[in-house]
Amino acid sequence: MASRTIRLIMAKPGLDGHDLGAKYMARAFRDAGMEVIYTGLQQTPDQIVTAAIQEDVDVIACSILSGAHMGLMTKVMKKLAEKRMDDVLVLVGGAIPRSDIEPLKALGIAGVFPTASPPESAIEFIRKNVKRG
Amino acid sequence: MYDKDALDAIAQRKKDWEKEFKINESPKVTTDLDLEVDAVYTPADIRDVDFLQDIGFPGEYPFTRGPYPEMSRHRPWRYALFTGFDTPEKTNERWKFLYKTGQPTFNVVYDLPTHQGLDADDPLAEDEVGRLGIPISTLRDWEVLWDGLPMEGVQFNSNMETLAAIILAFHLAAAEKRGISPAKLWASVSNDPLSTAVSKGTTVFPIEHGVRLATDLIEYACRHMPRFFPVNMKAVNMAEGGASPSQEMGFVFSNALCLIDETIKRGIDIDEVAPKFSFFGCSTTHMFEEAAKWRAARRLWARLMKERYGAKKPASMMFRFTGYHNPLWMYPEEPELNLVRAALGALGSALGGAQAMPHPSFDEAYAIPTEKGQSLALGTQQILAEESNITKTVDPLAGSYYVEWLTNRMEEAIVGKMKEVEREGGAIKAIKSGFMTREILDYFCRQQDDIATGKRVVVRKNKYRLEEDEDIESRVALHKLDNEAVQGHIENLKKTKAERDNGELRRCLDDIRQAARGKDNLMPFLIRAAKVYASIGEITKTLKDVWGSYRETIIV
Repeated sequence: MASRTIRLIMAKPGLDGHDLGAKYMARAFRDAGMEVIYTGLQQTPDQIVTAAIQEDVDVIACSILSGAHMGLMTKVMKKLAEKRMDDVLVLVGGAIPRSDIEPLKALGIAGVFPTASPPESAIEFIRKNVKRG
Repeated sequence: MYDKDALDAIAQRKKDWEKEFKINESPKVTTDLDLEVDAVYTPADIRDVDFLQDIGFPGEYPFTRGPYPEMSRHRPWRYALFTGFDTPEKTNERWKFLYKTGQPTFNVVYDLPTHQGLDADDPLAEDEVGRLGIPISTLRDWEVLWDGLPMEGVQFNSNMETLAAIILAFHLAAAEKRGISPAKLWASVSNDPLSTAVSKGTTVFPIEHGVRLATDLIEYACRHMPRFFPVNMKAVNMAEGGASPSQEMGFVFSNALCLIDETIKRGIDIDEVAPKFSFFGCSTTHMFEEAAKWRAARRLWARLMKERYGAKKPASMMFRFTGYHNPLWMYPEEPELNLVRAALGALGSALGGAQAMPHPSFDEAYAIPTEKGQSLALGTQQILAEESNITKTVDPLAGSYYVEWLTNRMEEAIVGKMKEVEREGGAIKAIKSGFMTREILDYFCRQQDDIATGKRVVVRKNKYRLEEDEDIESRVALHKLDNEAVQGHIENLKKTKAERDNGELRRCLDDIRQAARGKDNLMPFLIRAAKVYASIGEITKTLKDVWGSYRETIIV
């Protein structure tokens, strides 16, 4: 229920070069009135968290289509915990099997959006669950 | 083909027919490239088409109907399903399965670390080894891949883009160990650092250095490997990146001409280099549009080679391609239906005159293919090529008023895209400025919006949806990474690195570094390093020390 503009970073963790989903969603988030920063490809978990801090974001959205989401997001969430960033909403989208949704949530990820989830579902989710503002 | 009076009469009758049946009052119908499509096409719609000049015969200029006189009449196109996963051992097994199931070729895809020049034991490779392709770190991995398999006499295609030269070095080193000379190797490699900078991001080095490395490979092949295709331009990367038919072909042609220009600068004649280029692109379920696109590409390429480059040999003017149903337009809902989509895509490639075809598995939206998925994929192609009779004559769609009209429109659109790239200052500038990437992204986003609104139908996704929430994963046996095998592979790599002649290795890397600073062809240096089991990571890092790393022009 943020009243000020929601700041979101769209990140591409790991080596995956499929960025269409990330960019399509980034544009949708921007059209929905959010301030969106896109990291570009091949970001390490450390780089993502550093950028999130620098940009003072409310939401971190990670797009992963390589199947490496469990390992990568475990590292991202660990780094966020180290930096005590518990008020940032973390979302993951991409090639996520149904069986990995609960394990991802158990890491502290708030929302999981498998491939081609409609942008509206993510936008609504963010508006409802964003913690700051 | 018809005299002027007859054509005028037909054109008039078309106008009258449209009026009589109120065609103009019914909604506009459009297809790819926002082309408005008439209800019917007639000879009058292609009145300016000259049969001998524009359509002609296969195997001769302008090659609209195909590069070879008989195409697939006696032999199917090359079945070319690529594979790669977990370890070289596992990939070798799948290769043998595919061979047994009727694919007499070997085709490989690499995992993300290998594409990026990272060894399997690199911290940055963690979680990604063997996931989307084969991990290849050293010559040892290459030798395991080829264990028990012939390296000559069977066509081999390798998917590597920017680091093709390193992979070729491994291949040449392995072949030499078997006593096979480079001249005997019948194979191809992508070797396209440009299309990957537009989409997919396996660019690794700053673009100019990637182009230098690619040209080193082309030059080496021109001089030493008569049966080797050193370039298989990756239009597919851009198509999978969302490109329209004209963007896919227009941008890949621009990229191809850039590499040709670089090769010619080294004193190699157009008639030596052009025959060594081939293309790898996508088809979709829009089979007439795809057939028209491929025919237009052939005619345009022939004209470019002859008129712009002064090519004299017919082989220089032949556009040869690998066609692949675009996995971007395959969906997770009731995934078995993707068997149909991929079959239609293959049909578009076949009617377009493809020389080779990989084929995605129906569960592409979920995972890389299982054995079963690839058996179904290969079987689809085999049915098309050998049961449907579509190959009995060459270019059966020629002469269709619609398809000839569409071919002309496709050619115009592709030429238009090439001109846009020229206005940007050529391929490299158009890539670095983000022009190509932005154009493609804009087109893709429009398509996605059309899918969201239902304007573009995707069965089961935005129309005819199933009520129940399907649990695909309990119904379909999906491929799963074999973590244990991958860990074993990483241990083997550490062993290889410990047991090789590391003194000689360092000397080889120093020589590579020196050569990278200058203008010498890098291939001999890479081959020497390959032989002492230098890793792809070590070689890439050495090159990056001199050239730097690619920096993406971020376009959203």
